[in-house]
Parts: sequence; C-alpha cells; structure tokens
Amino acid sequence: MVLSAADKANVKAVWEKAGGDVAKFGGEALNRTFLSFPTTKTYFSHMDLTPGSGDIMGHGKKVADALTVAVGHLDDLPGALSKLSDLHAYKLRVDPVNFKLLSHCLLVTLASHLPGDFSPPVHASMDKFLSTVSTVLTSKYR
Amino acid sequence: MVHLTAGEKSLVASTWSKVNVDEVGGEVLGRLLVVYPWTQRFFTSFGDLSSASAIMGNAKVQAHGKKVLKSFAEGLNHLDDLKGAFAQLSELHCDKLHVDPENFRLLGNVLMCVMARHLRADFTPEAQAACQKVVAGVATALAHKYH
Repeated sequence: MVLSAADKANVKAVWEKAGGDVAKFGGEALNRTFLSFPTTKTYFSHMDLTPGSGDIMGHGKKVADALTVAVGHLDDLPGALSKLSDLHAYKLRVDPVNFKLLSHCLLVTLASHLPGDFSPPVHASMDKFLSTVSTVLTSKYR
Repeated sequence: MVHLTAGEKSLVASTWSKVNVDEVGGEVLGRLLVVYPWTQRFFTSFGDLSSASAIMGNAKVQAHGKKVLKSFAEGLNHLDDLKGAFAQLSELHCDKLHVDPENFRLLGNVLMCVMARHLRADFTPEAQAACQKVVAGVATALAHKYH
C-alpha cells in the first residue's frame, strides 16, 4: 500500500486543521481505545487508566507528537519512525492487532471533532496513513 | 452473544435515537466502498463507482445503504438474540451473496466513524464502547450460519 500524492495532501491538511488539538485528540483516542477494547489496557498496567487521567492524556500527547513527526516525513516513514519501530519491536512488543484498534479510535476522534473535514477521501487517506504507520512500527518484530 | 449492561443498552438506544437512519445509511455504505475499495467487488452492478464523489452520489449505493442500515436498526430490537434475528440474513450472505464476514466488521467500524461525524461530542467514548459491542455482535450473528 502506497500513499498517493492526494493521500499525503489530505493527511497534511487534516492534521494541520487539528493544529494544537492533536495532543487532546491523542488522549481521547486512547480513552476510546481502552473503553471499547479493554484488552488494550493490558499494556498499561503501570498507568492510571481512569478515563481522562493525566497519565492517559500525557501518553496521548506522546502518540500525537509521534504522528506529527510522521506527517512531516510522509516520504520516508521508515526512516522517521525508525527509533519508535525499535522501541515497539524490542521493548514494548505490543501485539500488531492493537494498532488497528487505536487507529480506528483515532479516526472516530477526528470524525467527531472535524466532521466537515472528515470527507470520504480524507477518511480513506487517514486510514491508509495510520495503517502505514502501524506497519512501520511492527516491521522489526521478526 | 452480546453482553450489554442495562446502562449500555440504554446508552445504545439513546445514541441511536439521534441517528437519521435514512440519511446515514447511504453515507456508511459509500464510505465503505471509498475507504476499502476492494469491497466494491460485491457491487459490480451498481454502475459508476470510479471516484469518491461518484460513489457517494450513486443512487444505488444510497438506496442499498439505507436498506442495510434499516436492517441493522431492526437488530437493535433483538439485542438478546442477535443470532436468531439475523439467521436468515446470515444464510443469505453465505449461500447467495458469498460475502466474507470480515466485511461486516469493516462496515461496523465505518458506521462508528459516521456516527461520530454526525453526533460529535454526543458520541462519547462510553457511547462508542457500547455501540462497538453491538456492531461486533451483529457481525458475529451475520457470520453465525456460515459453513
């Protein structure tokens, strides 16, 4: 799966529109993931998982910041995310199925906050982008 | 079998009551075909699906989406026996339509995105969690008679 020029433009535009809210969106997406898919909480036993906790919002900002880096390097995602890819492969070892769950909740979060921007083509491009990021983050697993 | 608490059932009902089923069905099916283009394989008789705007504006997509969502809505009246409620549709999707059940999961997730887009802050994380249980239950029920 390759991100077309149109996909890249869509992803950049919607992420820019989200602007300073991306950290909040990251936190909300995590909240949604933990509530809808409780098995995902098994990776966060060290955190306070009360919905909206400081731990969750802090971690959501981390995820959002990493995605901002990714959006800035759409032509070289493996390069830009190499360290994160190492982290997930050798330290975190989050089962690949979970990336789809968080990605889905990120789409739901964007849809609810940016309904006018979340057109069908943008929805498709964001889904492709998150899927590509997920593939990069699990690429060194074995 | 889907296990919803009384609170979750109530949350599903109140969230769903805010959805305009006639309006949203076409958008859900259209977005499925745009975001996951391989799903177009089931709709070769629908005419022009060549672009996102063609898909979203396609009258057959709109009509069929409405039909699908009405059927889903009917299922919400049978949360305690989704397998029974969708038994005939399950047989149809297996024996006549030959639809891989993975497609039910994809449609369910697109429905979640469309509900979020329309309901905005009303589609709270708690509401989503309850609705995710329902779409998973419907997908499982539709796959139940496969052989």
